[in-house]
Amino acid sequence: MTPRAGRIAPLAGGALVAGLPLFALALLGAGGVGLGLVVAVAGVAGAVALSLVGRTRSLSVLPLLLALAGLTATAPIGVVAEVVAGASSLTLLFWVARDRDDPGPLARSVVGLALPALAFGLALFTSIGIPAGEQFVGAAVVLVVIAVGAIGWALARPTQVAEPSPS
Amino acid sequence: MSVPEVPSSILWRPAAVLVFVTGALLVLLGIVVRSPVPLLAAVPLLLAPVASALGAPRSGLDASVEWSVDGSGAEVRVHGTIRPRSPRVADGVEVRVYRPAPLTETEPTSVTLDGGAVRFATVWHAPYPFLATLARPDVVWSDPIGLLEIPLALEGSALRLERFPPEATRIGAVRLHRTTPQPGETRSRQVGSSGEFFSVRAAAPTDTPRQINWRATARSGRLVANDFYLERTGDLLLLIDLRPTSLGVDRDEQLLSVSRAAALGIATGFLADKSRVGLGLYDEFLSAIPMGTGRLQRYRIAHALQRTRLAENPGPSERLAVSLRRYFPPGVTTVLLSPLADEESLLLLTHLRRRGYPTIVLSPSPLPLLVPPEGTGTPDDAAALRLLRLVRRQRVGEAWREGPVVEWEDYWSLSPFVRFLSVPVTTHGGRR
Repeated sequence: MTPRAGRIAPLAGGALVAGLPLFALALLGAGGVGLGLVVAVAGVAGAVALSLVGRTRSLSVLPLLLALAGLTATAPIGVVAEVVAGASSLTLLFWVARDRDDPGPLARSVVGLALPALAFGLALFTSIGIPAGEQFVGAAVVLVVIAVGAIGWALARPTQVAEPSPS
Repeated sequence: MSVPEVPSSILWRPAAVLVFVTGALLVLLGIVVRSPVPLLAAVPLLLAPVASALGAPRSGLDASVEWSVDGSGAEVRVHGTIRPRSPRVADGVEVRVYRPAPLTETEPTSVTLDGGAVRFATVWHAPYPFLATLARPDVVWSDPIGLLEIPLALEGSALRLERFPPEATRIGAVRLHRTTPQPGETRSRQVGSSGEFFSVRAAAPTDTPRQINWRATARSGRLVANDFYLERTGDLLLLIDLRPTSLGVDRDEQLLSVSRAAALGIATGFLADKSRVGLGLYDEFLSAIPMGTGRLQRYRIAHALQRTRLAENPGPSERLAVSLRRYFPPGVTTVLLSPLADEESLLLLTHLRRRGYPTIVLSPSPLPLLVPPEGTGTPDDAAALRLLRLVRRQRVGEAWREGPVVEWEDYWSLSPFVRFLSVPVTTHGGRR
């Protein structure tokens, strides 16, 4: 089996995991199911295509992120759409965790997603628990401020952006 | 070896930037369209880099590597073990082994976790003999999501890769016909463990039982060992022509790789048999390693060959022959490694002969490099190859007027050269 052929199976599995919530989001879309499905399919196909080419592999999540942005912008307001949108983000992170040369054990990737999943759960609870329609924006902004502050704290030591892997 | 200074800074991968920027854009989108859906989608994306940074280790970010190369012939197997100082770090260690030219990957690098150590292995294929330095692998700790990495300071050394035809190691059994003393040189006073008997001396703990003179020991009542003059079977000068040819840079590089490997192999074989070996590298000027023996001389030759590059400004052929007289006595057995791809190579032979260097040409043929991969060749390719073969034959025939030429087409075998040294032929066509 060639190295490229050996990557097809895990890639297909990853695409399925990352694509399912996006397809669900597309089915909920207010902008039309057909258009939503086209966006979701384009996102998944673009991610697979970029992943198969060694040089562009580090950017393979980009089509999925664009599809997510497009689908969430047109999704109807509601608890189901919110849950599916959060799940989409988590599965995209799962894609990032697995789509690399040496992803390590699956359990490690899943454990790595625990904190973002917990944060999403808290945000969802806040969104549902606060009845006033406008207050969810305030809650989300608070979360963002907390996130940015935490990044500033975590990055107290020197950081830089890594060069993409040559492979 | 001390641990190199590597800043333990966080390196964000491109995916982290994409994820974080998308999260921020989703927040803006949510505010613009006044919808909570993009906001909730943004939360995991914004929190993931934070979680990765918080989970990154801040100490124990150094490791040691023990690695080696084995395999034989065209197969190169690299394997090793990386031991991080903190076993907790081993969980997320990624290893990147850089493959030097001209190797191709046979099996991708496999990495396995073994307790607190990380084992890695990879298999490469060498299309032809080569010398290369294998840099230390890059070792990084990566978070579970793969958004960031932290380089580990690695203790360990680079590896030297040497692949030359196996006959080269046995070539020293060939007796060189000339032993030319340097001007003013008298007999070697160097003594060693074998050769012609010189004297007896008090035995040292490092002497083997074969070195002990048991009769003298019995007479004197104390352990006595033999000393010998170091035996020299002959002198050999290896010359490599580094000037570019009409074959083009790529082919020249490939043929130079083959020539360098062959030179090191031949030097190794003769040095193991206590011959003196010198090296001349000619580009614009001559770089010479004077005649010498022993492991140190092999190191000098290997080091010089590793640094060898194609000439940017080729020098005239006569300059090499003139310069040689400064370093090497005329009459020394000379092996010129040259593809004989143009007229300058033939001219070089003429000048070497006129200056008194009896030269044998070991000529790596460029033809095997020009053969198209199996199944892709067209009839035109086959015809062109036949023509090139004729041209090559004519050029080798012309070179034979100046000195014997050993054609070298199978790069993984030096048997034609060994055969020639054992039973020299004096004319093109094989008559002795």
